Amino acid sequence: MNKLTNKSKLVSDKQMTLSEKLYLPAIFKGMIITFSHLFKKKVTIQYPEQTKEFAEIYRGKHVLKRDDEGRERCTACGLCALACPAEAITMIAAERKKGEEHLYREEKYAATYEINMLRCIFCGLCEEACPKEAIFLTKEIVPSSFERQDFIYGKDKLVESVDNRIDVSKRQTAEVLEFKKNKNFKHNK
Amino acid sequence: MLRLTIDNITVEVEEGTTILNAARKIGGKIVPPAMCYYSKLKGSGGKCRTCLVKIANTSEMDPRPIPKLVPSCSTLVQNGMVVENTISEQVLKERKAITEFLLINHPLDCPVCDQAGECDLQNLSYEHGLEETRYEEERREFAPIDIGEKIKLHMNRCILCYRCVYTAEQIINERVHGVLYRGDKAEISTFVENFVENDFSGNIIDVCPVGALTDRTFRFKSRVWFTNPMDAHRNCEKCSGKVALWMFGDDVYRVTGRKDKYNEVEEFICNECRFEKKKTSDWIIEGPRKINRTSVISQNHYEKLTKQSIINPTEGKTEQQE
Amino acid sequence: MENKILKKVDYIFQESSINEIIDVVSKTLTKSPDDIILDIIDSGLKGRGGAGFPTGLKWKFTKNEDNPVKYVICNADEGEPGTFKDREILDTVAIKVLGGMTICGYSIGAKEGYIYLRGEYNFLLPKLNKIVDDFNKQLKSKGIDFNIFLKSGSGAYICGEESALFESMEGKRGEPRNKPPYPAVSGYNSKPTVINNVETLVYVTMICKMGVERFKELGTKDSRGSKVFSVSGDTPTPGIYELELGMPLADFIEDFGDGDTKAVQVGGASGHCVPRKHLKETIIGFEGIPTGGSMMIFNSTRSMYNVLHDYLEFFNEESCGQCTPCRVGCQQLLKGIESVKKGDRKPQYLDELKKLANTMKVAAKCGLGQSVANPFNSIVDNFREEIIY
Repeated sequence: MNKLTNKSKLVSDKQMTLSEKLYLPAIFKGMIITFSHLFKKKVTIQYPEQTKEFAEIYRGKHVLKRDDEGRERCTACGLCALACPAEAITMIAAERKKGEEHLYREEKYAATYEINMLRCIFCGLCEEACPKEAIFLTKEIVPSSFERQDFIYGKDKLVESVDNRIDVSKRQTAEVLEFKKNKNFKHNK
Repeated sequence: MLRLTIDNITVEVEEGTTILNAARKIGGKIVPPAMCYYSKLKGSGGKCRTCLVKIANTSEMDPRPIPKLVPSCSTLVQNGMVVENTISEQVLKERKAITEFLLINHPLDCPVCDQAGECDLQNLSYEHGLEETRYEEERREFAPIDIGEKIKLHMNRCILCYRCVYTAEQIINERVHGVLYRGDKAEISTFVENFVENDFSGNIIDVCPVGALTDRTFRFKSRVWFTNPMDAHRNCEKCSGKVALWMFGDDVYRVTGRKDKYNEVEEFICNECRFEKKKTSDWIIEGPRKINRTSVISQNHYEKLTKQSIINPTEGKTEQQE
Repeated sequence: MENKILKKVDYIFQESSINEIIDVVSKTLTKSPDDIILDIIDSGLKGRGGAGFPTGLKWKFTKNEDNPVKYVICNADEGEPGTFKDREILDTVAIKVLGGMTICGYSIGAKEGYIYLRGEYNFLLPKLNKIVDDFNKQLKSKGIDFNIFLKSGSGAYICGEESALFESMEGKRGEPRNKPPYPAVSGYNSKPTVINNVETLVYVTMICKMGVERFKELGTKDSRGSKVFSVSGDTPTPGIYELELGMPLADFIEDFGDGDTKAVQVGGASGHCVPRKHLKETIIGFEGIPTGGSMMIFNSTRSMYNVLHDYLEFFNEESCGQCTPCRVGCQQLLKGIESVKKGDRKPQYLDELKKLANTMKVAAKCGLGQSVANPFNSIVDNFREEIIY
């Protein structure tokens, strides 16, 4: 009978030789492989004592940016929520009152802004949709928790603090940075 | 009946029809955009110049082209007229330029503006706009004011289409606002703030093609594409009571007139319906409104495909384009 | 071009008494309206306001309209910068204007005539009121059913545009209407209306007085008759002169220039700027550059940037603001040349601005927006370096 493939192997019940019956050579062979790995470079790291280098454009926890004068950039336009494929973002807008000009950049701002980190798939579409350069993804990792409630991040966790700014310049394309240099345009002033 | 050819499509219309209305009779892509013309308002049109078309053949008697472009919204059809809209390079070029002009003084604050998502100027610039402007000078700036108790005026966004002025004259019958000054200082305003309070004054919000006049009861409440538009009606003594409700869950966020595919209201509604009836129990809900599939408002609103649109997908497509 | 010496003439400002004009009018009114209109068409008289529409045709169109109420309107809203002829005409020989209006009214079947007087010319009102009253009485005594009224404007350049003038007369905001319908079909109060410039109406009286043949001897084939020019600027002899039409601009400058003429703005702010090198081939008249009568002469001490800047400032101020190209265009042109001058923008920006001006020419609603491109393009083309440096 012709074989259709050559993958099959003929099974034999040949008797083992003495050295094979002792198993010792095979054991030593295995041990040499095992011990040789002791002297090779390790592939794992000791997390959390050690952390791995992130890619420059790693997409982790979101940040809501402030502008140079410390005003919140987000104007609650809802485009991030619209773009979000996981529907993780919700917000409620409010009107800026007189005397709050130093807090919010535009006349409308997000009174609440929530991202459900359990829903979020960290695709980065929200930052792409943002017309105000307000939301960016950072290298920070969203910590784990036992409560579902803890994963709903509000403005308290998302907005960057005035003193401790987060650098996102790596996440902006060269065109955007070039455009921002042009001070003729009103929204760059 | 007069015979007219627009972009190689021939149509018969009654005497006294404008080119724009004849084009709307044909429908589809050949309809010129209109920012200032409003079919329900007499005398409107001829101001924004976006509907300019080329006349290749004035009439049967006079087969000569008109050297300048004409506004299709106010030019009457003559028998044997041949009009070029989308097939004329010049028309498209000038329309691009006009769109750019309209945007020169527009603040482009769409992220803040409540009209975003249902704005004629957004649609126009999406279709005919350039990606960047050639002219970048200082824009005109005005502070937003309340021209009525429930109506906010953002003069920055205004394109001076005069629709609200005509509405005040023809629908409200008492006009307390109008165009002040002239040239680049021209602005829509009242002499006294908070003065527009007629029962039908809310309609100036509906006719506004941009976000210059907005509803203060809906101000910054939500974005239009997060709300669900529903047809609804109630017994109203002042108006027909037929409205569109913009709902968010079970809440009524906003009430407007029912707008057709050219963004014109079918019937003008009164202020009581518009501003005061914000409970679901005030209304008898008829069902969801049909929203153009290409509109941002239809995002995440799913519709069951009817058999016909599966069988004949092109038919469905022309509807969407309209 | 006809070889003919064109010269200064003096018809318009010849003194005429009221009786003389009434005689001319009553003599003319013995003819049939059709004959009068044929005479005017035959004379080749074109509108003297600047656009140059044949006057006879205008009357014919209005006469053919079937409407019991028609109007004659005299456009005395002389707003074009550099024009001051109508003021002088109304000041000295207003009676001839009234005569022309009566003849026009008879020919088209109108019973009422209006003079729309520019707001700035209100100082003429007392005098004009008296003349108009006298004239109306005289007409009544002769049994001619025609009345003339005076209306005063409020000081807007745009109201010189015919349909904006009607709006203004009706008490509305002075803004041009959509055309068609043209005034011959629907003008003042939506009735058929003839609207003529002050000077045109004077010529009507003159033609009726001296005969068509005599009038046709004046000027060239395309530009019949003479015209009153308001000469101003760098000239030793500014003032108002009546000249035959069809004269080359070079001859004109030889007479009026101060020897150092750099450019002439023909037709006021909305006209064309002709530099010295083009003076010879440019003809003043309907075959060359039509003009409303304004001749502004600039010598080499003048900066053409300032000239253009002033014009654009004027248009920006006087644009009515209803149509987009004009409202935005005037503003952008003005700001644009300012930023080029300051050096904020590259000189190539002027080419972009020219594109903008050309869009205005095609897309603007009325003559104001359409004509802004005339001075802009002609000055930028000919004096580009003055705009930049």
